[in-house]
Amino acid sequence: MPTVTSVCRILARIALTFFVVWQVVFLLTLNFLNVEKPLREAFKDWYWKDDLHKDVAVPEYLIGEGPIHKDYYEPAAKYTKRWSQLTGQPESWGLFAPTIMRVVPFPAVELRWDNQDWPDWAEPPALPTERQAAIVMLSDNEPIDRHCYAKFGMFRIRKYESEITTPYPHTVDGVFNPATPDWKEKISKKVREDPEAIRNYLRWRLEVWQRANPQLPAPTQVVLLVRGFEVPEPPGPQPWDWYDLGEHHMARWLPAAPIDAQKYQAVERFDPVSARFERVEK
Amino acid sequence: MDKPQFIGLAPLWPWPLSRWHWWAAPVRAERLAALRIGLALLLLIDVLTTYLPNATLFFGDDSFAPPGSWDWRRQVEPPDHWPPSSWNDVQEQWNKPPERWYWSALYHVADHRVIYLAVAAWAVALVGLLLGFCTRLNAVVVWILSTSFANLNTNIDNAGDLVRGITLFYLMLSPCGATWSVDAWLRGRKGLVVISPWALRLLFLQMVCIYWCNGLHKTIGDDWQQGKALYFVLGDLTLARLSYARSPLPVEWTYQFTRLLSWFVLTWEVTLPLLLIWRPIRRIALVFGALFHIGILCSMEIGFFPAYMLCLYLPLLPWEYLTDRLAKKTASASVQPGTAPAVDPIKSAGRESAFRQQ
Repeated sequence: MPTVTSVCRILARIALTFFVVWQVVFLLTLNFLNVEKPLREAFKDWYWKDDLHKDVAVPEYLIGEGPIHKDYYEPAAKYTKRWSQLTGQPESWGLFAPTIMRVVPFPAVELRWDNQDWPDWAEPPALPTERQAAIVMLSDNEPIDRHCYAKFGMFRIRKYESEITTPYPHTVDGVFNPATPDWKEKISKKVREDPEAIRNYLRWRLEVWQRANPQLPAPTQVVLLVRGFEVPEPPGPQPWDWYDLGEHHMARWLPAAPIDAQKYQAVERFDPVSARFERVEK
Repeated sequence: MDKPQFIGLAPLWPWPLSRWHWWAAPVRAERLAALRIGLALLLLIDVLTTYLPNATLFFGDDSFAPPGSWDWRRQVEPPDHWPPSSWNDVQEQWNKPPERWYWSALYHVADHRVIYLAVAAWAVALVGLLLGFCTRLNAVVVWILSTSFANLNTNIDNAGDLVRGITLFYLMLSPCGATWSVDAWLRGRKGLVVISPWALRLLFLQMVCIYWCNGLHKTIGDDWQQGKALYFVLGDLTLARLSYARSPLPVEWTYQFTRLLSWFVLTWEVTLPLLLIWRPIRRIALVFGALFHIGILCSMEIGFFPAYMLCLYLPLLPWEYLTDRLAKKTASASVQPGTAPAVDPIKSAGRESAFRQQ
């Protein structure tokens, strides 16, 4: 006579068998789906590049349409992704792939005590009686001397900083012109995507600075800057160095002028074409 | 003759899977124990050095990810009916499930004291997991807290944290405290301890998926095809541990070296599933993999990613020899002069034949 324990044990073993089989299916399926799309698109771009095979129609599979995508890939992606999210197994592997950043951006924070470029929608700020010069605080992750440094730790803050800085476009021989619609769009996109993350970062940097300088008045403007350094095309110049792409405005937070959080994003974005900050509607 | 003790559950493999040695034959429990100890130790260092000093900067009120901020809206779509109050609620939720299934036990937690308490609980559970005390319970707590913190603020995590979460998921479900643990000592477990290899095999499959998908993504990148990739990676001021400008070699030589390395890494990752088929090549391929991560650890500051990846190699090492040697030493020490030598329990258990390892 099988005991209750032995029956439970057999049931548990059956459940474990299903789990292991499902895990194998899940791993293979989700990883396949994650590489299938970029590989398919890369093949399409390569084969039909420069109208080389313009007389050959692109199969619907390569465009990402058709029954295979609709009937198999979509449901498979839906269920495997849910399982990955539920169990904390996001299968999205692509370390330094397929492309690699050539321009390295660092955030910096500018503290200002003036009312320069002050917006119409905000009350005029209370300016300090003693005139304060603006200061720029570099990121702790930015080496003081980029030609000689050793980096240890702070990778989580660096990761956060990489999420709030605007990726630079490639330049020709390190000459970067920020007053372009392309750069404007990049700033807009970043501010639209992560306004709270930017504000939280600015607030933290301000708090750290205020703790270190309690005797100084609070600044009226806290501006996020981005400083870019481009890795030159290999093998690079002799002596080897990065192209310094300069320091550029990205977003602004006015601690003393609370923004209407219902209508607008938490920070203003910088328009490099008109060289002005502007509110972003939600 | 000592009979090996089997700990945990084994899947009920149907034929022909039941005949597949790699999936079905039990393995020595030391391999999983080594993974448990390695990961717990590493995560404990991670928690104490990166999470604890910045706990209120990363989580809670006025942090990088305050409750109700971007994380909840973007990562999680809470169920409409939770907890469900009727069968209709359950049915409706089933028919209209949320698009995203991320979760965190710490959502809406604003109080910094609760955050510190959760980090403290995480560290305590990690010590329990490391020592193998109440192993299953501690593994569950560690996994829940690890996933909860990871989903609270994804802006501070990288691929290493994903590897950590996945490994913890398997540790939680497997008998990782079967040996080298306080639990085993309290139960008076002695001699050979074996487990079903399913967790180790799934982790190995996971590792192969990581490398192969990385490799396939790299094949479509121009920088990888042209061998420029590692030159740009090592020139990245945010990641490189040392300044590229300080390279002791001439500029051209350094570039050619990174070029060869880029192609080598690409070839290794793309061909890895093939390299693993034949045992002698498999060992070389895996040694290269470990060296690759040690190289990343020395040349780049990308947090615990290389260390967590190296953890996945721990079950591939023959840890059981340590136990066996120790057992042999103890046995020979206990033999009195002039008496017959004791039977070697390990040899008599048929170690070589019964438990062929990876």
